[in-house]
Amino acid sequence: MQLEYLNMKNYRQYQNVKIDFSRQPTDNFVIIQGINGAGKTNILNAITWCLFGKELHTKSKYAGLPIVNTSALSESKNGIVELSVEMQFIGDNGMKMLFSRSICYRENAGKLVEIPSMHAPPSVMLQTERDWVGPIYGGDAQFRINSLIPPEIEEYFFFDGERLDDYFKENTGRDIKDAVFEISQLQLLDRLIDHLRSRKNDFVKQTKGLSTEAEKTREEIEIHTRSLQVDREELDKLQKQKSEAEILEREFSTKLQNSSLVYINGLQEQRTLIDNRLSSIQDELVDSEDERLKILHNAMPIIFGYNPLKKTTGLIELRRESGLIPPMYRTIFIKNLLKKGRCICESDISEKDEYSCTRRQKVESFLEEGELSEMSSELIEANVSIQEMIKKIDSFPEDIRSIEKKLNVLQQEKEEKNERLKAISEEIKQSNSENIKDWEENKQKYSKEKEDANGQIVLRDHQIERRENIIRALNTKLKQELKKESKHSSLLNLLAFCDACIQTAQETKNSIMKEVKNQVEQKASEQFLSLITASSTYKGIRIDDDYNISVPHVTGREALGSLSSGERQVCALAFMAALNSVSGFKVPVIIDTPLGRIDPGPRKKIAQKLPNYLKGTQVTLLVTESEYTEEVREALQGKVSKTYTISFQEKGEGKIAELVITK
Amino acid sequence: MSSVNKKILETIEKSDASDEVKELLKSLLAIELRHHGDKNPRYAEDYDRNIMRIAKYRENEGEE
Repeated sequence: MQLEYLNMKNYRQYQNVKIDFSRQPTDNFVIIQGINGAGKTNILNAITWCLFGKELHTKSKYAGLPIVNTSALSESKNGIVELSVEMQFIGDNGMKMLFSRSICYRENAGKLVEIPSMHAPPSVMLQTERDWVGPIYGGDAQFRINSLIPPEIEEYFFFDGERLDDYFKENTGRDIKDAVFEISQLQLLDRLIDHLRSRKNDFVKQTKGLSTEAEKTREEIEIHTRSLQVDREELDKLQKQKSEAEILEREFSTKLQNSSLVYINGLQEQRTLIDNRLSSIQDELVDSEDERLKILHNAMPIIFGYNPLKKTTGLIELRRESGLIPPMYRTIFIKNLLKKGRCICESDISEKDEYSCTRRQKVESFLEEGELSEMSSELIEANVSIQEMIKKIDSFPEDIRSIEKKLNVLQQEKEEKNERLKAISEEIKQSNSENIKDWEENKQKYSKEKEDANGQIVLRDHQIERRENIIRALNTKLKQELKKESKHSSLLNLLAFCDACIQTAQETKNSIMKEVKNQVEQKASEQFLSLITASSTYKGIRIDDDYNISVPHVTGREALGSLSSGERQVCALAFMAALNSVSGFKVPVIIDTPLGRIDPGPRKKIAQKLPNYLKGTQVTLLVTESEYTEEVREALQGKVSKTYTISFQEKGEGKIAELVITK
Repeated sequence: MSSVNKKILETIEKSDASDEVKELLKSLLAIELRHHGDKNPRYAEDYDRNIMRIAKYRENEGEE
């Protein structure tokens, strides 16, 4: 989907401005250049206002200023001004879509009053092969817009480059997980699963003639399902609390790190290193404990059976030494001789006379001995396996001692690091600066809040898991009860159908979640490494199972906290672009101040690489003159189809801005 | 014009589920999208209509 034009009338400083966007397959960049305060961000705001009725990129300095152009208001003869923003898109199938939103304002005793419209905004018109259809208004129009550009993920298409630097400071793993959830629309599947479960229970509830046991089980399922819902809501609240505490803890850590007192910076830096090491120790402890359990799990059956195994192998060896095993001949060979009625020495053993009968009995006696020999042969094979098992056990004491030693060393190091953290905290609190003391106390307070929330999250997770198991068991019981009466066969089929849908929805959700996470990690990593100058310094971007972002240094140390401002912005830009590319939505990308905080060196590199990693996407960059340097222009050569410059003049109470095409 | 993320629809389509399950999931996702943002969505009627329609078809096919 591509944006054809944006038309703003009486929207903030834009009295009557139409911007035509590029729709070329190769030179798909549009540059809108303007000095700070010219109105670049308001172009982004006009877009979100038109689409969603909200200015999603308003900076605090604009708070309070009216959305309607103030000059138009003072010039209006009847005091009424219509504000409107109109956007025309063209879909991949060539169909045009016109979205618009307008509001009429009247000035009354110095206050702006909205005049109610006949139709609720927004409005949408669609172009068919012959004509335009519509408009449709209000909820239906909003639904149409939201299905093309979901409001929850707009920030991955229309974003402010200057705020990218703070993206990983302001967002926790949970926020990023939510972003991935939103971008993949997985909340739709979550709600679908909940609703299907609820419908299932209602189907049973509405069925007449249930047995007492079935009715009782159904009620139990209903109670547990309701409690499960409460548990999940509680878990959600706890996760939010943890996220908020995490953000605040990070904020006070940053304040300490950036304090003007050098020794405080040093202590905070030390603490960051210790925290990183503690996190690795924790991972190593978990891995080592797993390894210890694995060793015990493998060795235990052999340890318990050690004496009988040893005795068995001794007996087998004894038989072998005494020559009883291996077998002298195979049973099958004897059986063949008896079948043929002729011995190996050519004597007749066919039972036709007394002599041959005697000889046959002699051969048959070998058969009995032979069967014993066959068993002995199996014993020899078993002996090999038993000896291998015993051999494994021989290394057990050493293996377990070694892993326990490793665990002890790690545990000791963990305790020492924690002691050091306590000492650092005390040292910081001894500072003469009230600010420092205050920041440290807050850091400790939020760190404790985070840990407390984490503990409760673990408990709640267990509770949820337990309840899910109970519901599963009750569902099985209910089905068994219903099966007892043939009149419930249709209901059983219906429940089975719902279960099949729930299972497929669940599998779809898990598969997409995993796929999207891997894709985001891979794409973000590739883009980050291709955009930064010191690309050999980092391994890339990693996203763990809790969606915490890390940037491992080549030495293996975590480096996200020590990235430069420009590198952090590039990291966030790469992450945003990765989320955008895996979203499945083909929406134009508009970036405000994309290169504002980036040094000239990497700036050129980004400008060179940007068209590649947003290949096929219509891109608009809102830039300042200092960003759009000669080098950047050169790097984007052949990619830019239109360049506009925002010119503005102060008029009366406000500004009037116009866009002048310079290319 | 698809309104639900293509990835979800493609994953459902590729799954081993029966055609009826796939059809129901797609129609329920469209309902969820329509009610997206509603605080207390009234989904039950829409759900029941779709479930019954496909379940009935499934039962008839089974009988044949």
